[in-house]
Amino acid sequence: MGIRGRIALAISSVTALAVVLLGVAVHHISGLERDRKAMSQQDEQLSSALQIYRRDGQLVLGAQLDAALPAPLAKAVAKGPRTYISGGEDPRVWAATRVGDRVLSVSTSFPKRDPLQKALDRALVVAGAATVGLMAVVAWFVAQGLSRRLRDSAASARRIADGGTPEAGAPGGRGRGRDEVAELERSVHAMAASLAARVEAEREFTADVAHELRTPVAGLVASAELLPHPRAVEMVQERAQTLRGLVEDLLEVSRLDAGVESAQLDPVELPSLVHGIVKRARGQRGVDDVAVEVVGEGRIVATDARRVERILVNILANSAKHGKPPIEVTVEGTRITVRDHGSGYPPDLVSQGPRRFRTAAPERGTGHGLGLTIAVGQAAVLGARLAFGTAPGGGAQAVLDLPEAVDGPEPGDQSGELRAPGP
Amino acid sequence: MTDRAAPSRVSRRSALVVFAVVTVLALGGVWAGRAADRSRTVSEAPKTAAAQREEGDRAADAGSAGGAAGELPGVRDCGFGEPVPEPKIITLTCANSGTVASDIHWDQYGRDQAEGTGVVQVTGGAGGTARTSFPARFTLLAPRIVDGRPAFTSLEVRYTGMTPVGKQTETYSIA
Repeated sequence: MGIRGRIALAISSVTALAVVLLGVAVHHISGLERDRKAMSQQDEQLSSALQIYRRDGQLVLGAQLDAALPAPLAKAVAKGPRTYISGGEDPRVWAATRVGDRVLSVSTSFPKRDPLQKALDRALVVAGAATVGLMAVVAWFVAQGLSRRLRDSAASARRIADGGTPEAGAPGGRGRGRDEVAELERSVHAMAASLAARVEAEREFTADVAHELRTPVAGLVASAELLPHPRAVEMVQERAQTLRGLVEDLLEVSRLDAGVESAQLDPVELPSLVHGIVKRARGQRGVDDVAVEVVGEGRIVATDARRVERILVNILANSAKHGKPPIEVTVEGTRITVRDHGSGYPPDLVSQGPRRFRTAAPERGTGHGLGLTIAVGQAAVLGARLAFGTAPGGGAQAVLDLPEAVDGPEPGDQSGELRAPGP
Repeated sequence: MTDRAAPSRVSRRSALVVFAVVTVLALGGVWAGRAADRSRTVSEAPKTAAAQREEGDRAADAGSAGGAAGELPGVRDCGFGEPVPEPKIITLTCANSGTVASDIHWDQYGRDQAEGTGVVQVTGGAGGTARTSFPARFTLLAPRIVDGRPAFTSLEVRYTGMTPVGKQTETYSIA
């Protein structure tokens, strides 16, 4: 149940409780008042009857001498004049007093169900039900306003989380009012703006660093070849290549972040594409024991083969580095599944996705956490879904779901451009 | 730990609220029950008690006040006994004794006429809460010598609020 329903329910419940309590109290007090009034009237009648009886010996106003009194009244009348409401089949209201040795009493019937009280009860029930209904409607509308503002704030925060920019001038326009919700809206907006600024600064920093490093590293690679000692050349070249790979990856990440990447869609037969990618990857970056299995009929999809290769190679390299062989690649329809037999992806990566420079390896230098980040970024450019999980029976499993080919008249017409959705 | 602690705190608060509501309802129930019992107990009858005391006082004063009051006309209730000056209570319908003028306070009590206020009481009808007393103004008229003593013979009743029979003014022949 949403906050709107909860608030409406809570207010209605409290109103209903208050109405019931009030109704019971009013019903009860009116009953007591009726009793008190009836006894007071009988007292008044007895008082008049007593005066006349004493003066003239006449019985007036229905007074009786030595009538059969209810037991509690008969006992109490010895101490002085008393009134009493008897129960039983014929409830009566009594007043009695002693006159010398005799007892003078008046009584009249006192039905349990009083028409006036019945009408009052009915009015209470109708008014109570109407009040509860009205309060439910009012509470619903009040809560709806509150809920809408909270939902707006949440949507704004979600937009930032998805990589959007905070609306310009939003706190002035949306932070109307001075209540807690308005304060929350302003806070969320301020937080979103601050986070967005920080993310933007990080993005710019990555792009700048990568760009600035590229030229000296290229120069370093070229210069290393001129070194005299063969072993030194080999070592410097190897490290320079690693450095260049890192710089290239960083540049790719920054391009993906900037959302300037676009996919070149061409129709390709998926099983043969995967076979080709695995063939090329074998022997590179530690990828060795890889088997490809095609389930069902091979499909032709409109996709960017270069980006699919980038994704698969990065996943394979990650499996080779952190998992254990054999690595199994399964192609089924438009889905490509890569699994290994290692200890699986870390829980953080499964729940939140890969993050740059975060790696599960405790030691430094075994990876920079950019490979899977790039794979996810490239999948987004392709409009594909890349999910990380645990394979049945253990081991890491990455599932790449490529989008279905757009229904076109000719395979050749399926080629087109797909812009990256942005970071 | 924190996300486990939050629901338990919420449930404890709900339990507290439910407990408070149940306690209030229970106390209300006890109060209602006790009040219902109270109405079934024997209560005192203050007006009758006051009438008892007044009667005793008047009996004590009777001997001393007799001579001075004898000058003014009195009221013979339903034609019985001696005329009583400034009576506090007068029977209006002597046939069934169902209507009585009581609690009369005389504003003016002279030889020709007397005026006062009080209530007219009728026998309690069914329902127990049906009205039995009606405020009225009384005027005693037509003084005559009855059995050798002066007495008023007519009583006019003017209801100042609701009436038991519908008429605003009634005239009764007394003595």
